[in-house]
Amino acid sequence: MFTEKAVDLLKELDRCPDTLPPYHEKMVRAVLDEMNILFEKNVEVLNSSVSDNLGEFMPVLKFRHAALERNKRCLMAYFWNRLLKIRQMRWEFGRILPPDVKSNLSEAEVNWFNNYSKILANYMKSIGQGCGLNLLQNMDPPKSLYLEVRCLADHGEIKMENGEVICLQKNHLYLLPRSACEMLIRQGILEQVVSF
Amino acid sequence: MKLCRSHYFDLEDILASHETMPATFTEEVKGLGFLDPGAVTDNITPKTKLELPFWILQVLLQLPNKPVTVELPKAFNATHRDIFSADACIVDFNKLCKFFYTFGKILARAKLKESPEIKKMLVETFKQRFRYVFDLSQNVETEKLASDKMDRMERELYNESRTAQVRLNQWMSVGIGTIQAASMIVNHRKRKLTVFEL
Amino acid sequence: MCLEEALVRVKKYLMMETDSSIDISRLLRDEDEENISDDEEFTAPIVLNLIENAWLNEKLSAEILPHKSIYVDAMYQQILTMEDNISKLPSDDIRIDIYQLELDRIRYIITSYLRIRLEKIERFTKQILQQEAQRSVDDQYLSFHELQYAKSFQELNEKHLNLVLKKMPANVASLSHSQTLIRPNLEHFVFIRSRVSQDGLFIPDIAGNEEREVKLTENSQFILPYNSVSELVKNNSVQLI
Repeated sequence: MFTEKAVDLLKELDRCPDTLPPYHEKMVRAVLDEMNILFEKNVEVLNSSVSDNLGEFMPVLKFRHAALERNKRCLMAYFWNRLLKIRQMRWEFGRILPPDVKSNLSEAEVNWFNNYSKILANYMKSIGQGCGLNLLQNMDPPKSLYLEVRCLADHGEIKMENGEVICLQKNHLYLLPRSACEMLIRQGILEQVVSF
Repeated sequence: MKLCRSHYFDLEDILASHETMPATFTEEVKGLGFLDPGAVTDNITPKTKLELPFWILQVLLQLPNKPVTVELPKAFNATHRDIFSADACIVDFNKLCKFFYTFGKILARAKLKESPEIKKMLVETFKQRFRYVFDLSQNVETEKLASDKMDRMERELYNESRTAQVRLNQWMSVGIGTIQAASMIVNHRKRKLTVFEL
Repeated sequence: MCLEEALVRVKKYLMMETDSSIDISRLLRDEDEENISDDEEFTAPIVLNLIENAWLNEKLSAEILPHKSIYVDAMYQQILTMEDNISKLPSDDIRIDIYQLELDRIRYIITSYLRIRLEKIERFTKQILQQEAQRSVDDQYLSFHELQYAKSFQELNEKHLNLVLKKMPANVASLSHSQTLIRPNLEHFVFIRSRVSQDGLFIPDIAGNEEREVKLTENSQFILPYNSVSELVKNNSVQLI
């Protein structure tokens, strides 16, 4: 039945609220094909009918047009809601996406992601009359300057603000300044140890 | 809390308007035979009864000759309205109508004969069930199965409320000093683990 | 500075910790620092208070509010200067950690404020640009850079959607203005504290059609629909809490 495929696309998105399913190119193309069929059928009717008969065909003409609009709305919603998730990815994963996440994006979406990163970076640079402010840091109100963290995966060396270099190894505990480890905690490389 | 009014790209609005309603065709309609799985010709014969999505019925109802009459969907008919006014908490909205409130709002706006009653019924049902949703969300110790009987809107409310309660508990006991890994990253890692285990 | 003096200062700081209008410049003043003048002693806490209130308002309202970039920029410059001053203190000075924490807290407020605004700009781009174009130059809600960002973001999205729109049949291959308009829900309820006394505030009743009059007195607190108090929030007569 018409528009079922378009709604299926949306149901696919709806089923995964926390992640982004792979871009379903086949289904999108099928919906576009359906739209073209609907359009052509209507044109056929309009071209062939004598004006007397048109009244009889009004319901089916209107229906096809409504189905066309409905398909369009579903496709637009599909693209739009995917963009919302991709935007969230920039704020949570950072500028570089893990390869398996990136493979779920279409080429156009990857371009969107990169361009979004660019305009975001431009804006952040301009804050404070050109001083720049990284809005992706300081996501939570700071309670203390130092945090006890456990490293969840070997990450290699990091350089701190005071010049010290620390090597992060899996399962080791560290006491680090919050500014150095906030980003790493959000990226899942470190884990904050909660002591009571 | 809904931050935006419903709009063109709104997923919930689209899925809710895809919910079906019973309709009876009063006239023959040429060319729409494909809507009826039992149709022999390209046309719909009069007195055919079909269950069709709301958005299609909207189109048909706007035609000058109105070839259909519609009845309210199961979840909004008189029987169920009586059930709701008696005790709305026992109803399983997940089975009955996933988008109960959203679809209800659409129906209320659609200027049907029963629209004013539907409006009242939505408010009353929500008031009754709110206490039940609220109580369940305060109990953060149990698993998240309690939202099984809720419709979409109640489920969102329940989840938000639970998150807020958890944060409040944390703040009162230790103080929210912990930074969490971003939710997308936690999910990504969980999926990777599952794939690895398989 | 001897140990006793340092301890007295720390004690003072700790007692004042809950007071958000802490006088940062006084805390930092030392024989070594000549940057802070007497004027700034009074403006820094006032500006911080203004920014905190703006941050709360922005967090709790669904629509975007007039920008406070003058204060934000000034505060941010102040933070950078202070961080620079701190870096000049000897590294074993116990004041460093305390000052740094306070500065981090202010940084958090500023970044959170700007983040919330950015989210709203991204959510309601079309409507914000439309309304901004109708406002006078003095009454703009977006800062210059936010406006640039909004325009770039809109362009980015339009380009992306056009990629699929152009593959559709000609008669539907575009989106109308109303289709791309996303509007905030202004009927959500908010907690407010009034700064002024105000009569004649009319609140529409949800169920019926009658309006009720609410009288605000100074420091009174209410729960009201946002759209009844939106103008009062914007002109600073009430604070969202």
